Amino acid sequence: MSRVFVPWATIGFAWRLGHAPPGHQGGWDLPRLMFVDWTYVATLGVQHGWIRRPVRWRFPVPESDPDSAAERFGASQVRGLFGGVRSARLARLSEEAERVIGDVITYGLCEVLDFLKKHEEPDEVQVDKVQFVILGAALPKVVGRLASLRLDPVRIRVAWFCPVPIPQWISERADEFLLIPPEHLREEGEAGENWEEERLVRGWCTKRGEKLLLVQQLTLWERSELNWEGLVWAEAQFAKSMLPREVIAAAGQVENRYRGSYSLPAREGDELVEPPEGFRVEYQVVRAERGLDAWRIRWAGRTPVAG
Amino acid sequence: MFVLGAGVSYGVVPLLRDIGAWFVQQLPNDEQHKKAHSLAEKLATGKPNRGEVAELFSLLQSEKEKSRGIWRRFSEAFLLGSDPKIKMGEQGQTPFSGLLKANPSEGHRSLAGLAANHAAWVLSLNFDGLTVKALIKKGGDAAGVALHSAEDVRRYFSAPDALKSVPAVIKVRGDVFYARCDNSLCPAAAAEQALDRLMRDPPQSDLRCPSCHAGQLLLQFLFPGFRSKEEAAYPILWEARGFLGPRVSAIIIVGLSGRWDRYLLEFLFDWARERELPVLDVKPDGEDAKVIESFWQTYFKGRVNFHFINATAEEWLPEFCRAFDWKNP
Amino acid sequence: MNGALSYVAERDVVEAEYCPEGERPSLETCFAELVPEAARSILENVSQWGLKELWLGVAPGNHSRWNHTKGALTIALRWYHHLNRHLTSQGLAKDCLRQLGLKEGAEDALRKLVLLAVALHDIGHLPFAHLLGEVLESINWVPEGKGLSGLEQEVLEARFKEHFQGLWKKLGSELSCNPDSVQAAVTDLISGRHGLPWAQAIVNSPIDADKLDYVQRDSEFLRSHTSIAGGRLPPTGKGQKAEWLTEFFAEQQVNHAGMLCLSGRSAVLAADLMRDRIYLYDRFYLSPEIRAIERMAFELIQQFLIRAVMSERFSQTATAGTSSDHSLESTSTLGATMEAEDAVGDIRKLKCRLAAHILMRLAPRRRTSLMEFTVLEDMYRMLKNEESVDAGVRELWQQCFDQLRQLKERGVSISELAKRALVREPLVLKRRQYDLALEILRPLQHVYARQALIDLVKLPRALGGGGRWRGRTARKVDEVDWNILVPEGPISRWGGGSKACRPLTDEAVRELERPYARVLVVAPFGSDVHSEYIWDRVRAALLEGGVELVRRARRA
Repeated sequence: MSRVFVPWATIGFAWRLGHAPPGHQGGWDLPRLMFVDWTYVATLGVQHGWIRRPVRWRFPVPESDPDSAAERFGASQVRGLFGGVRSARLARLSEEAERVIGDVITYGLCEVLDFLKKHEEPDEVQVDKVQFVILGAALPKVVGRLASLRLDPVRIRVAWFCPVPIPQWISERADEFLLIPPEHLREEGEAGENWEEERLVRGWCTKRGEKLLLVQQLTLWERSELNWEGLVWAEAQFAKSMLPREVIAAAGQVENRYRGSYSLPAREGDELVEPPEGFRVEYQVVRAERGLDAWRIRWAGRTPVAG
Repeated sequence: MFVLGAGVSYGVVPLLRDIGAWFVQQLPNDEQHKKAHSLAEKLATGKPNRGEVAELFSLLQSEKEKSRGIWRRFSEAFLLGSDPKIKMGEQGQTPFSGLLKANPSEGHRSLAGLAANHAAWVLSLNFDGLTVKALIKKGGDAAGVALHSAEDVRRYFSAPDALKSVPAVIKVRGDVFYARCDNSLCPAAAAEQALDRLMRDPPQSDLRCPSCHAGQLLLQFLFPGFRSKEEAAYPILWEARGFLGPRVSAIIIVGLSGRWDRYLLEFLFDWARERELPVLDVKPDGEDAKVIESFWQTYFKGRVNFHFINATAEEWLPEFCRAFDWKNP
Repeated sequence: MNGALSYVAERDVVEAEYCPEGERPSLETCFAELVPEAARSILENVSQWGLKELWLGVAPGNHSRWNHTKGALTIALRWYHHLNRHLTSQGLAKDCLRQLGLKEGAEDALRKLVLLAVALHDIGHLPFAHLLGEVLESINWVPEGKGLSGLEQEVLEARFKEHFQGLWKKLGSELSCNPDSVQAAVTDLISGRHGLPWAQAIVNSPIDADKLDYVQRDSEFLRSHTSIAGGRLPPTGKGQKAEWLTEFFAEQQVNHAGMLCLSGRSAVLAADLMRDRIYLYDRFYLSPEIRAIERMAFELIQQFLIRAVMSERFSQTATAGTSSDHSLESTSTLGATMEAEDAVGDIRKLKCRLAAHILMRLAPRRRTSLMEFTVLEDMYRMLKNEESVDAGVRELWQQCFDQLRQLKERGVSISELAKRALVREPLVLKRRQYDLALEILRPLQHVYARQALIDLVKLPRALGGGGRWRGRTARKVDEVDWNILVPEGPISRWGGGSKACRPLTDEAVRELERPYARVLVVAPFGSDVHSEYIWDRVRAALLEGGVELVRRARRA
């Protein structure tokens, strides 16, 4: 009789503004581009999993809204020290940034599903369900795109995990007041009605170590519970918080990509690079299969299985 | 599309600072004229702000008799070149023979050639009417018309029955200088006449009012503050853009500092952005040379293709127009 | 493929019904060596109406884009000749040539450019007609751009590169200019951004040859095949089309500034054209009955394209066994493109291009009678096997496809199906609130995706086509290019003796506007209590979001 293991896959990404390479005409006032470094880590069996080769996608920075040419400094306007005031330039940048993040995550999720289909492990486990975790807060453009995929909510569950307050590594330019709806900042089980009728995402906070952990779940059509038992928690130095080991591993490889520890495009024979201090969890590279975009890994320690 | 500033007429028509220098010489240096004198000095050095220029000309055109005398002498010197003449040029060496006798420069003539061949459109911020004069002087089929208002532009492009095509110069700001009859009984006392409408060939030798023949045409300087000039300019700018929109392949600004004209720069760069047009700024290096480039860098960099060309209109225009041979694209 | 050029025979280009008696032979000679065969073979394979022919129970193929192009070409040629006669008699012809940088005596070259632009104006279209563009817009896969929609622009450029390089070279040699300039001029004319107003008016404007043909053609078709649009359509009897055109041209001229002037009867007929076009949109193309059915096809196409672009496995399966259009081959997959060294991806443009590439591969090269439906069937077949998709949604897709197949097999009529599937009445709102409504309805569609489909569509402006531009200084302007002059006053007062004296603008045709958008709730399983609840929720969400619902749409 085979045991059913509910795989965990986590998608990690980092969005940054950076300088365009020489010769590239960036948008806006400086030659800049948006960079999204991303990867995924999947635990497919009792103790083994995969790490995708992290990649960097580059996008043009949009031209600022032309209305910005008409801005006047004035003598009484609110500038938005903590946000909350419309700035055409920021609105445009936010729109484009959230759009590219949405596309990266959607593509990543589709790639994980395709990958799982290709690499089922018939001898050890049956992969008929998968739970996705995305590190960070849920953004409407991401939620909308994932909802467009019309995923089976029982077989495929999607959640976001984010320490609160939000660590710098996750978001340098925004904070919880902007990213998290107030009704998600309650602990689960607290009395109170969620007033949205057609809700796509439900959210709550739970204690993990010293920090709170925000959990948001894609909730289309029916509320299917997240299976927590499949997770192994570890201390994430970069977030000063407890997070699932897959999440830490994904964050580590994204950090590697950002620091240029990988070449682009990846060449055969590229080794899995050890993540930097603060992003480490224990796993071993068991066998790096050539020609694939991922490395097979074995997690240290035992992993409980879900019934 | 060429957008012309005062630099196109440099050496042919006095600049504001040349006019300032003339007023410094003519205004008595007494208590009554102290303020005007001080403002004129500032104008002569080329560093006044908009408010100071407006205040100076308001003072000079005021009802006080002495001022009116000075202003009358200025009108005659400016239009007819009567003594004392206004001096132009870097060293103030070149006497000005009056606007009505001024001749188009090589730059004007080159532009007129392109406009006559329907290869270019011209927007002018100048009051001298020399581009139209160049068109008229070109001879042959060329004639020229100046369009001073949105209604003029609309009438020009909407005329169904015109027998032939006559090139037009669109006067963006309306003219800074107008002429008005000083005889209060005359209808022309209320109506401002654009100076280019006074251009004759041969030029007229006096300033008698063509309406009443009793009064004299006096200059009127309309610069009460930039806001109303901008408001006057917007209708004609948008009308021009509506008709010219798809016809323009580049915007070439010649001899315009841009210092007084933020509204115009915003308009032109927005046009360039919408139609993906390159913008060229042609002027010699100097104090105000990089104003337009700075505006572009602040608001439109990365959205509009911009180039600065360090040259005078007199050097650059003829060469460019020769190179831009419409007959062999 | 580029190679030796072959052209469609002249007599096969002329649409006889648009020619007055005796004029046909002279028109035919003008089409010698003009229309490349490659254009015909592309356009014959694409329906003017997408799937609508099938829904109407008519054998597809009668309404190909090639037939429509022939009509538009014939009209354009007659129109050009009329205006050129006038220009020459006024001595303005050489001014026009100068404005284009052409030499005197190059009138024939100018005629070729204009006619070629008309011949190729639909080259950027793919199967499913405008439904495809709507699908891509709904998921924001249309890159920002000027003129044509991003998808049309992509396909046009690819096909120009693939099929017409020889043509540009030949014309470049005839005109003594760079072949790229020739291509650019034709592209500008097609996309409405050319600087010669009267020529632009013929090719792409609110009253261009394209509209003149399809309004006539579609009216005739609807009158003879259906009762959907009612008896309001223009007369299309024998000889009447040619007469109509003659009258339309009669009081047209070109002024000194190259503007197309419509006076008197010409203006009145132009107004009729615009009115009839809006009528067709309101009562046929975008009518609730047609939309209900199209929305089902829309759902399948949208879901297919999302997966085909986002999932490489799905894309490979979908296109397995198809041949590639190698001009689009360079865009392989989203991941591969984004990961290439130094790649900087305009993600919307890339997704649009990939979608176009996949559709090009799916559409069979040889015209079959059911081309679009065959492609739809292939799409559905792939979708229903997707295990990651919710079972309830897959049931809805199945129901959608079954309904469409029933319609195709004439097991049910449009009216019957619409009556079954449409929930209550359409919700009508002002067109200017379309974007707001879209944002409100998007999450609702996700939530109710197992039970119903929500459709939002806006009626087009009276001035469709042509270039539009937006001024974005402190003063905001949204305006059509001023290429055409019309009489003063409201349209209802145009008539004999009225002279063209002001630009044709949105303001000039305000009377014709039907500035509305419609929301439909479509229940493929049949309207029931549950779908009525969804309709209630849609209505409530719109009102709560600040959308003003119009109680009854005005009819012209």
